[in-house]
This record gives sequence, structure tokens and C-alpha cells, in this order.
Amino acid sequence: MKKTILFLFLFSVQFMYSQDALKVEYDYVVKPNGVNNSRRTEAYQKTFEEQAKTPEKQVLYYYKGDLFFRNFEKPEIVINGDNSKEGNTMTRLKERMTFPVSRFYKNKDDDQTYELRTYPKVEQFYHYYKPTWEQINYKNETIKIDKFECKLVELVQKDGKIVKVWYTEMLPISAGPLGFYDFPGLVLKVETDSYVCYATVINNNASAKDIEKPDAKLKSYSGEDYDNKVQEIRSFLLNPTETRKEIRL
Amino acid sequence: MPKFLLIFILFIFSFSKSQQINVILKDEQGNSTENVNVQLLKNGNILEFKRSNKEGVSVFNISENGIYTIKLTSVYYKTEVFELDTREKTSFTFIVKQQITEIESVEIKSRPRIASAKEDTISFNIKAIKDGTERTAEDLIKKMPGLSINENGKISYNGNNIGQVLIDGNEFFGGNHKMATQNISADMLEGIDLWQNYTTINGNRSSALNLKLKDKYKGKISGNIEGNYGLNDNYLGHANLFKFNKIGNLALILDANNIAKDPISFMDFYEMNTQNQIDNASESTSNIDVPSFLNNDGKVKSKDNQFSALQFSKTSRKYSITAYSILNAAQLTKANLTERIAFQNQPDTYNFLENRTENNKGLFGITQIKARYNLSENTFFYYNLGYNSTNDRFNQNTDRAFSDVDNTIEIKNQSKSYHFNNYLSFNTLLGKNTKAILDFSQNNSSVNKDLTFNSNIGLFGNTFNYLHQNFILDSQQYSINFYLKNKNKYLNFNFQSGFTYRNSESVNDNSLLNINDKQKIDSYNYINSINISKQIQTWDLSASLDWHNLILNQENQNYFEKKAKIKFSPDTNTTQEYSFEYRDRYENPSLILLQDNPIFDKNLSYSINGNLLSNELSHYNSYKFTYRRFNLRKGNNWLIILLYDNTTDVFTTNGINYGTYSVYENIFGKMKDRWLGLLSNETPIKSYLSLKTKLSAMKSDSDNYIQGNENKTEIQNFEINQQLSTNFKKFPVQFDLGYIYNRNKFKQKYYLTESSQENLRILSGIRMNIKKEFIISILGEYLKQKTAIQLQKNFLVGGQLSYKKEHSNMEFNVRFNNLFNLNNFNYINNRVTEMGTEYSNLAALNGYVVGGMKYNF
Repeated sequence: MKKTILFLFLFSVQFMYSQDALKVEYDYVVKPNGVNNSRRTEAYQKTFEEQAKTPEKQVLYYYKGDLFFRNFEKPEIVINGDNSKEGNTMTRLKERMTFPVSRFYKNKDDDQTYELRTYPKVEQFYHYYKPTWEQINYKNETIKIDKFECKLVELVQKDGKIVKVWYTEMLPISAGPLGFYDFPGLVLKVETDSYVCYATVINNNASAKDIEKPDAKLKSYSGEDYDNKVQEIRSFLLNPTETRKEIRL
Repeated sequence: MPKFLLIFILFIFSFSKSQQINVILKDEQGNSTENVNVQLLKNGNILEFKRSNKEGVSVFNISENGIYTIKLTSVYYKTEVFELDTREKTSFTFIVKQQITEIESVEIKSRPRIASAKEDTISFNIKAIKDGTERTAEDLIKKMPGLSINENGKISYNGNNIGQVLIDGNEFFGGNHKMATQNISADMLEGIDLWQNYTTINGNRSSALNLKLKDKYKGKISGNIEGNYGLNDNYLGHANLFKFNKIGNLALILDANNIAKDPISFMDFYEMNTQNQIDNASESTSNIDVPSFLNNDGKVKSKDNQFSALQFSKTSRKYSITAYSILNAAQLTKANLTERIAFQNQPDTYNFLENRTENNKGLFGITQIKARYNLSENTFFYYNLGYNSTNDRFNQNTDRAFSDVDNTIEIKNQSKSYHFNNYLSFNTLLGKNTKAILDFSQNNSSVNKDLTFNSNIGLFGNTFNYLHQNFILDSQQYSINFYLKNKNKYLNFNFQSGFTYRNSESVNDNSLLNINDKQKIDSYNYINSINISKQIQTWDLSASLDWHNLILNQENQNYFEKKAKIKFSPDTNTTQEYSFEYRDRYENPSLILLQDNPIFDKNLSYSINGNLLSNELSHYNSYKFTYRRFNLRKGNNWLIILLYDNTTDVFTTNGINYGTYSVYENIFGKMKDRWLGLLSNETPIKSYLSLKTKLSAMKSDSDNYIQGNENKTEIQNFEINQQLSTNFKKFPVQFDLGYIYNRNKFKQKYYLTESSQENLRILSGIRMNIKKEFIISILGEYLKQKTAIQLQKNFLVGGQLSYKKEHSNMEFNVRFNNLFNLNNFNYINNRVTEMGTEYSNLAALNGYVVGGMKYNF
């Protein structure tokens, strides 16, 4: 009898723990024309469209109030342009298509989140911030995703654009993909002008090991410091890389 | 004054304090509860959301005092709703009760939408539809709302045929949809997109269905190889080899079987040999005869196929190329028993019982190369080379038992043909909105037919028992066209000016009848065409006028052809479209119809020109109304088509029955008209059940002559097809239940003779996926065929059982068809022709059972 009680106790403890763990897989789909590539070459745009056709796999781990969200690295694609000749110099425009790395770290006791910002071959650092929006409008509109009744909340961004977030109170865990985790239930779908991100698999196969911590070696920026940092990198990246090879004729 | 200031400060202070409320949560033991979701609501609307902190506190800012609702949710506590009045106090403590919400593992198969539309692309969500019972891309496409596949494997979207099926944006065997849909497996696909404005390799606008591959099938050799063997020495071997990568898409398909499984249909053959025309120009046409051995309507006694196909396509910024080559050999036998009863006032001796066996061997090859070279972003050359060669050997033994004589005839017919065409176009943009195209084309074709009859009695009313005919038809065609297409803010304007020279020559050689007849037609056709189209809000209007100046053997003719279309697409939540089309065109008689000497046919008849002249024209008018409605979200769609066409000065026949043979004189008739109606609906009844309904009716009247008497042949056809299909998300078994009722009626009005036939099929199917390892699909069919004097009932059972261990490359299959009729199976066919009433019993393919293995890589 005692053994049975012990077993039931241990089992219930195990069960209690399992409620604090969540793994959600998401598909992330870039919408056609969702990204402005008008300054790029036709070959780049075509390659981009091809790449955008396949949903990107992303995963969210939740363990005892801590969150870690990530995507999976994809190698860069190099698009070689045509040769052009000026005098004895042959020039070829080389465009590199890189795929953003997504990492979000949120500690239960911290109001703010770390978002990894990666500028390939330039720099990696964290943006340390609390996701905020101009307006948060909880709507009465609901949709059903599989068996989950999902409620809509519309977030108005600083530029006036609206992000639609669907969360379900049937899984009352405040967690979600990217920076969308602060709602009264698990976020199953996020839709913006440029992408749709939706849950595909939900289970409790997450443990403390899955919750990655931010890399202490990387710098963190927040507020104005972050804005200045981004501005600095943008101006650096504005010019495309040119590979010049001199061919002596 | 200081008192007043103090009161004011206290007022402000009290006001600001009244805007903040504290919600404190404790469990039943009095401990603080953290991480509970706390929603503040007013009138049912969520105002703010917080999570309780370590002390179990959530702080809300409110703009006014009043009655609010607090909703508490958590995986550890019961969902609770409390009311609070902030006019009474600003701090509220609630006790939460423990209740654990269990998180189950869930795989969300449903996706945001079954299909979503963005500009001119409709993306179908495979994951929302796939349940694991699908083997090929075809099985998936059939389940997509609005998409359907007909018996020839052609895909249509809301009743409109899809132009191309692409693999990751690259062409795949031209317009032959089956090659992609039946050879690409369902597991290889990541998604399916319908591109409604796809620009083909030659710059035309078309629709295309793009099959998107999973990454793991790119850049390596993939495909499968399969071998099956079974009862009665039946076999099926099939191999697909694909390599889809940056170097280009390469596909090799091999097949050999003796179960009448045709890798391509006669429609595919026709389309693969049809040269793509510039849009807005005349209809795409093919002058190639479809080989008789391809015309498999399921009513063959046996059929063996050997097939190979190779395809390559590659697209880059500078150029695009797509090329394929197909080789198909086939051997088939047919057998039927026909009783013909001549019309009442004709002699009884014309009645016969015919026992006919056909033995047919054939071979054809097709090569198509299409290439596009971009000179700049706006200018390109397009080139197409097509070659086709066919060898069709047909042997027929016919025994006709008349009341006074038994006639046994052996017929041999060998037809060899080739067709070769070159097409080159130069396409450029002139300015921003104007496109100019200059094209040249050249076509050469030759058909050589040898027909031999050996009979025990005199043939075709003569005394000789042997007859040999050689008929050759050669033609060359050269054309040059210039097209100008302009889109401006007022309207779209297209102009075509061109010239086509065609030379056709026939030689009819029949030494026994002393016939050596050469006939020739030289035609020079000058075409000028204008097309104008304009969109006014939700209305699309377009009209075309073609002026033809045709010189046929030095006779000059002028005529206009017209086209008009009005389309109305109301701005509603569902996609709706009403359209009305009108078209008229003219046609000259072909050289075959103009033959002044008998052209014998293997059906024991001959045709000869009665009163047709080469420069006379038949006039065709067509009116078509279409209604489409498609609800993307619900997957519900409607399609209604009403079509009426009418031909005046029609080329028709005067049929004369001589008992042992018949004669058809090619003559002018007054008119021919046809009514056609189609209604198609697809409705999801429940989330797991959908109903497809298709209703079609056709009535055709054509003027002709029987024994020199004016007659009207009337054909009526009515068909209703309804099918219920399940789509259980969590249940690995799916069911199909449906019926097809079909009624055909034939009438010859001069003799007031008619016949009809009814067919009823009741279908019941089951599709299963057991533990992701067994895929089973079985279709049972009850077939009842009924005519005035015949009744035939059959049970047909067919299907496939596959076993594939998860993550294994090996798959085991058993295929079976018509299980209860493994040795003998017949169809009946009843109709009234110009020669009398015919009751036929056709030997159909026996059932088969084959089993084997498939290796996927």
C-alpha cells in the first residue's frame, strides 16, 4: 500500500513537472512580396522567391517560466552576376543571400528579453528589450486551429502596421514565437505583412537543458544604444560587396 | 490658499491612486501564486493582461472606476472569473484552486487555410489535406478544393484546364500533366501553388500548377523502381529517376506492363504535338493523326505497353531550355460481337451478326525541344523544334453472318507518319507598355497508309475478293506573323498581321480499281486581327475581329471571324465570376473530305466527295455562359457552364447501306447544333465530410442524309455523379461512397428509330493508413448496364495494398483490378447509327492481381 502511495506521489510530482515544460514547433513562411528586394538583381529576387516557398522550421522551448526560441541556420547563397569589362578590368557583382538567425531568450524573473542580432561577417550582439507596441487591441474574433479555440489580438507597431497574434487560453501558458510571448495563452499563429508563423507540433518534450542562455561573450545593447548600433551597421552594409579580379589580356 | 493647495494636491493624489488596482492571488494554503495569467476585462472585452509576480500581485492601470471582471488562467489552477468594483476599493485578493491542465502532444495538421490567395497565386496547403493515404501527387491534387483531374489525367481548376504542371518552377513534359502527377510521389511534395498568370517559356500567359519539392529531394538522384508479377502472367515494371538541382531538372521514366496501364493518353499525345501559338492568335491545332493503339477507352481485351521518357529543363537568367523525348510501343487486342438491324424499309438481308477481332501493334516517338534566349531583360528569342514519328500496324478479322451469306474478311492497315516542325520568334518590349513579336514557323508532315482486304466474297459490290489501297497525304506549311500588344491606361490593344502558305497533296493509289488520283490544295491565308480588352471596375470586356483573305487554288475568299467576352466579378468575400463568351469562325473542307475517288476504311466502308468544293466554308457559332464561385476559406465551390454552339453549312454525309459494306458521300448539310450544361459543386458538409456533385447534360442535333433522304441524328447524354468522402483528421481510415448514373440516347429522325442505354455505378471505397506503414485503398463498384434488350450486372473490385516500414526505402505492393472477373469480362454498347441499330458486346480487360516491390531512393 505504502509502495503504491509512494509511486502515485512520485508519479504526480513527475506530472506536475511535465506541466512546466513545453516544446512548440512552428512553420515560418515569408509572404510573396513580403520583403522589399527591389534594389536587388533579378537573379537575387528569383532565388529569394524560390527560398521563400519552403516554410522555415522554428522551435520554442518553455521550461518553468523560462523561454528560448530559435530557428535553424541555413548556409548563405552566393549569386554570381554577369561579368562586365572596363578596359582590362573584369568586374563581377557577387550578391550574398543570408538567412537571419533567430534567437530569443527570456528569463522568468526578467521583464525583458534578449534577442540575438546577427549581421553575417560583421557582428553579433544582443538586443535587450521589452517588446512594446503602440496599441494592444484584444479582439472578439476567434479562429479554430486544430482543436484549439484561438483569440485574436492586434498589435499596432510604431509604423502603424498591424501584427495579428492568435493565442489559445486552452493552453494557459504565456509563451510564443519570436517576441510574441506576453499573452494569456500559448501563441499558435502570428501574421504580419511579411510573414506568417504558425504552430505545427505541441508537446512537453522540453527540459532545462533545452533553455539556452545568452552568450556572455557577446555585447548587449538596449534603448538608444541599440538604435545607434543598428544605424552604424546599416550604413556599413549599404554598399554591396564587389569582387574584383584583374585578368591580364 | 495653502489649504486650497493641499486639497488640490490630495485630490490629484487620490485621483491618480484611484487609476491603479492591485490583484493579489493566493492558493488555498494562503501562499502567493506566481505566473498566473490575469486578464482585466470590461463588458466582456479584454483591456489588459498581466502575469502575477512572485508575491502573487498584478497591477493594472484603469482610466475610470467601475465594475470590472478579472479572469485567471494557469496550467496549475482552475480558470476563475471574478467581478470587482473599483469604486469600493483598489486592492483585491482572490483564492485560486488547484487544477492541473494536462498538455497533450498535438500535431497540428490543420493550417491557417486550405488555400490562400495572394495576387494571382493560390497556395494550397498540403498539410491541411494530407492524411497519409495519398501515394502520388495526383491523389493530393484530387483533394484540393477547386482542382480536379479528369479521366485523361488533365488537371482543371474550377472547370478551366491548367496549362502547365511545373516541378519547382520548371516545365515537365510540356502539357502532359500525368507525367508529373502520377510519377511524383505525394511524400516528395512540400506544397502546391496555382499560378494564374504564369509566363510560359515562349512568353505566353497561361495557368500553371507548381509542385514544390521538399529540400531533401533536391540535388540528388531520387525516384523509385518497381517490379510486380501476378496471376495469368500479368506484370508491371516501372521506374522513375529524377535529379532536380541547379544544373537543371532531369527525369527518366520507364514502364513496361501488360495490364493496359497507359503511361500517356491520346489527349496527351495530341497536346504534346501541338505547337504553342501566340495568345490572341488562332486556335492551337495539330495535324497529326492520333495512333489507333493509343485510343484506349478501357474496352480492350489485352494491352501491353513498353514506354520510356526523358526530360530535361533548366532556367537561368540568360536562357531557359526544356526538352523531352518519348518512345512508346504497344500491342493490343480487341474483340466484339455486334448485331446490326437495318432500318425497316431496308432488306432483312442487310441485318448481320458480326464477330470482330483486332490485333494492333504500334510504335511512336516524340521529341520536343523548346529554348529561350534572353538578349536583355525585355528582349528574347524563342525556338521550338518538334518531331514525331508513328508506325501503326492494324490487323482485323471480321466475320459477318448475314441471312444469305457468311462473309469473312481479313483487313490489314499499316499507317506510317512523321511530323516535323520548327518555330522561331523574336519578342521585345517597345517602351513600357508595348510588346512586339515576329515569328516564323515551318511544318512538314507525311502520312502513308496501306490498306489491304482479303474476303471470301466480292468486296464493295465488285467481283474481286482482294483489295489494296495506298493513300499518301503530304503537307508543308510556312508562316510568318507580326504581333503588336499594347497596354495603356485606356485599354489593352493587340494587333496581328501575318501570312500562311500551305501546300497539301494527296495520292490515292488503287491498282485493282484503276485509281491513281493526285489532288492538291495550295492555300495562301493573309490574316489581320485586332483584339481590344478593357477592365472597368469589376467588369472585364474583350472583343476580337480577324480578317482572313484566303486564296485556295487561286479562288479568292474574304471572311471575318469574331470573338467577344464579358466577365463580371462582383466584389464579395467569396470569389465569384459570371462570364459570357461569343465566338464565330469558318472552316474549309480538308483534302480527305474532297477525295473524288473512294477512300476505303477498315470499317468496311468507303467515303467519297459528293458535292463539296474546296473553297466553300462551314460557319461555326458558339455561345458560352459560365458562373464560378469559390470560397477559399471553406473550400466550397460552384461551377455552372451553359454552352450552345451551332454550325451552318456543315460538312456532313449521305450514308448508304449496301449490306456487306456502306458508303459515305461527303456533302453539305444545313446545320448542326449542340447544347451542353454542366453543374459542379464541392461542399464540405462537416469538417470531416465533403460532398462532390457533378451533373452534366448534352444534346446534339446534326443534319445528314440516309439513302439520299434528309435525316437528323440526335444524341442525348445525361450524367449525375455524387461522391461523399471523409477526411478524418485523427482517424487513419477514410471512406468514399458515391454513384454515377449515365443515360445515352441515339435517334435517327427520318426512320423514327431510337435506342438508349443506362449505366449505373455504385461506388464504395476505403482508404487506410495503418501505423504509417500500411496503405490500403480498395474500391468496390456495382455496375449495371441496361438497354432495351440487354441487361448486364457486374461487381468490380480494384485496389492496392502497400506496406512500407517507416524510414525504410522498400515498399511492398499488391495491385488488383476487377477481382471477380479474372478470366472474362464484357461491356455492352447500344446505339443507332445511319446504318441501323447496333447492339454490341465488347470484350473488356480481364481482372488481374499482381504483387511486387518498390524501392524508393
